[in-house]
Amino acid sequence: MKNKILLGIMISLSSLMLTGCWDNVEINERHVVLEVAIDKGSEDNLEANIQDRDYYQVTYMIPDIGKLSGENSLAENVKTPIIAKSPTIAKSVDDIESKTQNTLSFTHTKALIFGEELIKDKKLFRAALDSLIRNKQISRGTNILAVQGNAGDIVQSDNYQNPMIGLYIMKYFNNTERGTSHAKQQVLGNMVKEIQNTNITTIPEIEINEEGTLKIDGAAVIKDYELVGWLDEDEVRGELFIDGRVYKVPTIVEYEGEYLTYDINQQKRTISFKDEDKLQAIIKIIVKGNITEYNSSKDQYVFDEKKIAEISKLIEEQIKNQMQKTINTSKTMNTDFLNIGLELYRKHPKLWEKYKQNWDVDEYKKLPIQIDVEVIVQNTGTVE
Amino acid sequence: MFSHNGKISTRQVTILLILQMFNTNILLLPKLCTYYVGRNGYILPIVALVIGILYVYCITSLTMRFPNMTLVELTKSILPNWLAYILLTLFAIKVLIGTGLELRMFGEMISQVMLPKTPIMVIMSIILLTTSYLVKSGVEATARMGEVLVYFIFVPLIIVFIIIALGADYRELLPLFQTNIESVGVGALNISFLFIPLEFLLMMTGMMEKPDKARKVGIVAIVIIAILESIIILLTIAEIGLGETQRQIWPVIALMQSIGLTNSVVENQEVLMMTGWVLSIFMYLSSGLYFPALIGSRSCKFKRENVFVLPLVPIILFIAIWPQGLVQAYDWYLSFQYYFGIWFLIPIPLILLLIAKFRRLGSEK
Repeated sequence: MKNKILLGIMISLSSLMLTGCWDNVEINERHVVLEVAIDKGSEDNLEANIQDRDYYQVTYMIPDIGKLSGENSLAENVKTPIIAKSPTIAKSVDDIESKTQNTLSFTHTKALIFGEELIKDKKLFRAALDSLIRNKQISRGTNILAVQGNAGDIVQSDNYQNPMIGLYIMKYFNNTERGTSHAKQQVLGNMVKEIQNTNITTIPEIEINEEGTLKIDGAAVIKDYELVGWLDEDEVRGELFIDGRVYKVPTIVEYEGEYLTYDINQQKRTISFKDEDKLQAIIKIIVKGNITEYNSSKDQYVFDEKKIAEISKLIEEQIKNQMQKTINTSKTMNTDFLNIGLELYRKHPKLWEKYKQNWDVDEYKKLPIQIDVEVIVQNTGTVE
Repeated sequence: MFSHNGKISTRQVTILLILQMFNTNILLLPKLCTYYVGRNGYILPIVALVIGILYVYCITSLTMRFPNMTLVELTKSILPNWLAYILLTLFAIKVLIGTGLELRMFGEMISQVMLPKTPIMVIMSIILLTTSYLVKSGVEATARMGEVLVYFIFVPLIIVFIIIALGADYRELLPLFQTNIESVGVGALNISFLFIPLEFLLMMTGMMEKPDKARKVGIVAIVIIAILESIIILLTIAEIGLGETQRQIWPVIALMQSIGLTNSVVENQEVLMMTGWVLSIFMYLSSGLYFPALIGSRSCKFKRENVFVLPLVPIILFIAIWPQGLVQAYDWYLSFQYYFGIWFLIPIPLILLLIAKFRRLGSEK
């Protein structure tokens, strides 16, 4: 009898262990934040109590999962922006908790978008990055983008393809079939790594063009946690060439009076250095690809080794020009976002010791960079 | 009620040692190694292996001289009883403090990464009570549990490492070997303290079916752990970079969080990894609780070996809650390892061995 009573007590007590953990939140009681836009706040209330200052304006975009999956829902819109003005990013989370019915979750955040004024402010941008890395809720693999203007406007815009900008960005970069020539993907963990390695990083730019379509191309160049300038699409392509990441890039040249398109499928890149009387960098790239468009006729055709050699020369020049444009821009900015200095350090650490002191002052600006391009035309499509 | 003959096989001891060494230290390891030798941190565990082999030799030279005896019996036969009891008490206290601090670090990690709202006391109590349930069934049950769990720990780990290895940027490891020998030496000595669980061999050799294999077991275990540690450090530096490895408190957690599987069903892959780690810590805590309990019961010559298990639970818990926060726990943990880590790895086994030789005790073979 005693044993039965003991067993009864033990079974009753064990039910206490089955109540779930403190952190348990039902999925329908969560607000999954898919994108976060961080802008610089107003400077009107700098005299106010530190708790009430508005250094940041953070827009958290919360989707209505029911509406998003095509089901009926009580919510009016598929997405709801909640804006917090606060002195720190962490405080903004606390602020929006008072404006939402459910628990906020950042574990599925797909994109972080920074506004132009924020990335121009070294102190605020640095603090924002620290908050994002310190707070382990946001994945290090979250895509990072920059906006010329207000980031909040981008996430609140109507995008006809996908109302959730975060999902659009995730699908854009996850699409491995897409060519890599317009923008260089940046994720939170990698951006922090680049800044720690060289103090320099680039963030792809997102914008809404005249037709109201979202476009991801170009980049913001950041040096020492501060915006140095913007790169256009061609300059980013040059950066991708030097980085060895170009894939499926159409390169157009004029051959015998007709436009010819060459599609790059593969690229290899090496950077070497010569230090005879003066340091010199040599960037060598080898590209492989196909001719995908050319208006050929009976007299004009490209299925010929001699003609292929001539075309290769033209493409080489074209690629060289693209790369040279990017190198010129980086020298004008005096910002080595092409990581030539990092490459020198990795390959010749002793040589780097000699140049590192003045690398950011004038050594990089003075550095002669030779570009060697080798183009291999693999085929001409299904016609001669 | 509990059946145990108190004997464990060579394979079981190898697995137990590997799991005991695969503890919270691993999560801090890349930070420690890069502190000494920067981006060449992955060489330290391999160099530390030489020191680890020395530990194994010192410990097993003593234990193999007294087959079928644990530290309790062999100290009593070598030293006067009063001195033997002091030594055994010191060993038990050392293991208990190490286990308590390990428990706190584990609790802090779970609290920060997985269960931020769950009180740390609840996390620590639950794992410790679960551990005590296993330990009450004796060393044989613990060893069998190790044999089962080793697959659950290392299979997900290997899968995750393969994913990381395929996408890592190995240029982060360049330039190679830009460090001085002195830093390598100092670093390797400090990293060799990760082999501290080897001191459990002082107890386990006496429980082995084949005690003459103790040396081989120790060496195999530390070779496997050193290789694993090197791979983890290498991947951490390659994936998250040197700066972040040095800045993060748990760089290996950051490594886990940096994995991005395109269109994957599971988005938070670190949870898979953490599950393996929880099981590994569980095995470490088992040993940390079992051996002091065993020392107590054997010293008091109790028939049942699990008498001290439950009374030790609140003591370990008390040690675990003593530090005020993660910063203090981390500091104490490293200082404790630094000042007290080596005592039962080299000096005490060596002194006992010399006395035994001098007094011609134990088997000369």
